[in-house]
Amino acid sequence: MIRPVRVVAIAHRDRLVELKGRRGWVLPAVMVGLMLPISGAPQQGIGRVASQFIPTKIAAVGEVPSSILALDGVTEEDAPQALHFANANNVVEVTTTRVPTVIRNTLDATDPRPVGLSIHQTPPSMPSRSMFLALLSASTLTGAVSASIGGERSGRTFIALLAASVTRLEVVLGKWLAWGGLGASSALMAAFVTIVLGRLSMGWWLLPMVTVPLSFVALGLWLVRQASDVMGGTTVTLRVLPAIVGVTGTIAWIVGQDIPLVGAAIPMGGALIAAGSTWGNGAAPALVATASTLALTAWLLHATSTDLEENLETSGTSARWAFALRTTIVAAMAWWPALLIPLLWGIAGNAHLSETLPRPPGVLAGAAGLFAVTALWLLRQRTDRPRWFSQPTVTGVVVSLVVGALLAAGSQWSMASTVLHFGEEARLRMAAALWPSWTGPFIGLTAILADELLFRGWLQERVGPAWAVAAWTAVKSPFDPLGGILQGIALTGIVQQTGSIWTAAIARSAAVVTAVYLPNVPPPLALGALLFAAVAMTLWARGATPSAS
Amino acid sequence: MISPRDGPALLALCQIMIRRLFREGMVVRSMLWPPVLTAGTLVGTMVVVVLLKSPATVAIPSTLSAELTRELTAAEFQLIWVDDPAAAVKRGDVWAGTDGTTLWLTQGDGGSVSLESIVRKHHGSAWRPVPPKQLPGADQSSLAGTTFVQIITILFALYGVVFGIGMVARDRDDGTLEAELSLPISRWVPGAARWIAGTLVLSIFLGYSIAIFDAIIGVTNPLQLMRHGIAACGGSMTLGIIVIGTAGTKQGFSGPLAFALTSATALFGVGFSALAIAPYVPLASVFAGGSGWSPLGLTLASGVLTGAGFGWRSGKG
Amino acid sequence: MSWATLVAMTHGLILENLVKRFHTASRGEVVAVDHLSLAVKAGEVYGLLGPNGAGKTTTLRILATLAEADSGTITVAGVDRNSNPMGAREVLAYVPAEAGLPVRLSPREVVRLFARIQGVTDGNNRADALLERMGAASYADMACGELSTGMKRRVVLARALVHQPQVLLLDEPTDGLDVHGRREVLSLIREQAEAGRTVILSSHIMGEVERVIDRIGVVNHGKMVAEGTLDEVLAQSKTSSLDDAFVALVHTP
Repeated sequence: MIRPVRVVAIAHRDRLVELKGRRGWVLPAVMVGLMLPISGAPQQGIGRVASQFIPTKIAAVGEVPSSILALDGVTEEDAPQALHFANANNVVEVTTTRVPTVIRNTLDATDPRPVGLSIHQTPPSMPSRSMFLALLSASTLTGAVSASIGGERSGRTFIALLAASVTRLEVVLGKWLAWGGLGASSALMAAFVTIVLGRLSMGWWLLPMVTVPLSFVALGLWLVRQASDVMGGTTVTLRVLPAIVGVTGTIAWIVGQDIPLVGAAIPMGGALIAAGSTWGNGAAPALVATASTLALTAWLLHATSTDLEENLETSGTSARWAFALRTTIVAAMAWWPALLIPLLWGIAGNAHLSETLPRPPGVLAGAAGLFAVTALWLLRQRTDRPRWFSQPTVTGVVVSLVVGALLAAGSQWSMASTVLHFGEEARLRMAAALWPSWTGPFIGLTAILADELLFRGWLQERVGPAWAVAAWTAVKSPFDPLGGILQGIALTGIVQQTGSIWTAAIARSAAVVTAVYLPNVPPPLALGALLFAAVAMTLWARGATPSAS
Repeated sequence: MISPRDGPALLALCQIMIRRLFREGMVVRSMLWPPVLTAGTLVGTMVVVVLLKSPATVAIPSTLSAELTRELTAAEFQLIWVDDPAAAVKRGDVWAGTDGTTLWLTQGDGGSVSLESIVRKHHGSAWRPVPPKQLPGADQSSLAGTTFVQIITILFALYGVVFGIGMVARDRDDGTLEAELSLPISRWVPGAARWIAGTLVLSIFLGYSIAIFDAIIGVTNPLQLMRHGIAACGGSMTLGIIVIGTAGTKQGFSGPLAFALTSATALFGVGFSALAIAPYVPLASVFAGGSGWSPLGLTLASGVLTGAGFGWRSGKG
Repeated sequence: MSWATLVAMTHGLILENLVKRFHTASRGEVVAVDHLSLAVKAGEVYGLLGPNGAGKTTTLRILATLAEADSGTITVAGVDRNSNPMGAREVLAYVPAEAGLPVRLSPREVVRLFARIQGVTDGNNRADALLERMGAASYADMACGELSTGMKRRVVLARALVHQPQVLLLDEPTDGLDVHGRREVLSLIREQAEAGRTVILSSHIMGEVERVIDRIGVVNHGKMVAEGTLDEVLAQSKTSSLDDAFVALVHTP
């Protein structure tokens, strides 16, 4: 049951709350100020403005022929995007990913044996200015949409609205109408100006053009449904809305080049591209785009209404396994991208890029990520100085050094047992980053400290040793789970017994140093060393006060 | 006006603001989003490229010299023998075609550098393009990585606008700001604390993003980019605080935000259009290059002005 | 007519075996409301008393459909709140402890807008009349952000009454008010009961409520520890004043 009168009343209230005051004209003025020039500017004017953003300067470096240097706009400069000229046996070599036409023509002019170049490219259908008008009408409402739920929560005004005799859906529809209506009417006004001035003719594109701000606002409301204040809401809309609109728009445009109706059927992106009259003036793409986007809009509004509460109950602690799983995923996302992506570059056909990338930043960035994860959790949990920072005893240090030596032997078994080539690549990459560069010890120590703080410190404290070992193995040793588990057990045992993460850090540092000088150990012996370390530390830790809360 | 209590109060307020920002899940996720999502997108793209990479098909006539044919095969082009390579390209059957003296392409000349290089070399041309072993640059780092960082800097600068407006607007609405202004400290302190905390938090996450990109794709002169980035973050914080400060208490959030975001975007536009001044202006300098020291200095000065302006404005009630 | 229907008709509010649990980061699972039952007649003012964190606000929030209970049944003016929350919202009004007024709107705008949102016919006139009756007409066109706490409390009451609810839920209605403000608000509350409304108010300040309440329920740790008229509660606690009774009843060693 939807009662239009109440929906309109909520919309009116929302607009009043946001736009009242002596500067209430600012938002409409910004909208008009941005949209009017684009609506009315002649086509050539738009082209001239756009051309300002296309770089006209060409940087060249190396043995640049004088005919090239004589060209307008060519400067001799060692810029990142510069063309590199070289002379190899009287042949001019231009190192670049693309030869600008003016350079090509100049070089061809003096070439006794030129190679002809013929490009058969169908120019892609480009959207007209109405797409940008639709986009502007929607994007200027980002703040209003973000404030409409988060602002109500932080201002404590939401509770009265939710306790009133209106349904959640009516509340959401009211907010949608307030800002979607403003966006749609401003888009229509801009379209009116464009048509009256003869820049565009009336067409089916008007339908998807109005749909764009309506869907944009619905998506925005869905994104901020859990925002506790305007800042939280805006940071979400600011990053997610452009991404969704950009991705769906690009996909719709690319797909629509061949099959317009399929492109139009992509929600949001289809409407955006159809708003630009990209697929001609036919009714079908505009209607399909409008229908699919409005369907998504309806779903988003419904989904928002079912998840709209006055205050967000913080669930706090979840089950240990859930917390461990969450931390594992976050830690893996912090640690692996910097190390793995360069390898993927190579596999994807960019071996040159992968090989020449510096390695130390990978490990440093990963370690920084793990530090950041620990710091964020600690800050969020309001923990005082953790007790696992305590100073270790002399016995603890001695035992750590011995365990470190055992782990070093064990690591040889881990290396030998790695079945996945990919994992070994990653490990070698890490090894290259850590050794023998002079920065190696520093980077290595940073990585070790980051590990111990997160896995043996914070995580062990929160979820207990078993889940901490599981998380450690999943994040740091996914290619060698057995080795990871045994190493994890040994290090956990040390921390449990000594009550300090420094002992585990000492053990791992000792392991790294020993591994460099250790002669080859037969695999069974290496596995034995790992097992011994794990069992010995478990036994040693028995009777110690568990550090998990 | 400076009182002896201002220093410790500034530190304490900064600490509170920073902790508050870190405890806001949505805010933290937003700042972690650029490196994580972009890195994820890169992984996804590469996996798709690996799985779906279509072979570079090149149409050649049977009369093409055996040597050129061998060279093309060695370069992993998939050759298709046709009578008329030009027609095959025109029909869209193949990616490119050549008869040894002419090159027919379907997608402009980007990405065809290695094919053109082989054909020109074999034909005996006086020049030829060479695909870079890695993207060229002054310090052999990646232009693509630099561009990623510049785009992410825009996002962080827009967050700066939101932080500047949000940290004042919400605290004004819930009474926190009033409580701070009633403390026995100078009135510039609450504004300066917000500016410092916001700029610091944004800079930390921007720094992490730059480190990630330097590691996975390489960026040109990361420290220089970092200077431009901090300047942009601080500059946008200033913009946000000034806009909400002048809007007055009877004003909503959306108008000032739309105005400040538009102004920030316009400043980025200056980076493209007014190259003479852009390297010295915070935000504009991100795309204009330069050492980054000037915009950084200007941003720090703007931080001081923000505090002073905040104190003056709040003194007026 | 069944006994249950009869009870539902004569009582503005019936609450049986209400249970609500929360998970918190610091304390794990907390039972905020523990098998709470109560019934309040139409025209009666019921004081839900208890220390901070006793579960009063949670109970009122559940009644106002702002939170869901884990178990229990609730009838609001004859409407089953669990199966028909919308119907329940039509007949009740919730006044939270914090005013929650948009700082940039005037009281008149707020009350008029709520009249429209609640679908009240002739809402503008009724809103104006209510503001008059609440003594808020003199500042009805000022911005809510400029009002004192007492002024805001009157506006909030006007906003709550604009759709003529049968049940009024008031959470700490006198919080932050001075002596005059407290007296005025309490007399306004008494007026509502005399007009036939069911009123539940929560408070942790004993002295001020005993002048207006008909019956008291004392809750502690989510459980009802004493219930009845003032005299009955004093007898149960073997004390002579409500303050002493409160201390005796909620005392935890």
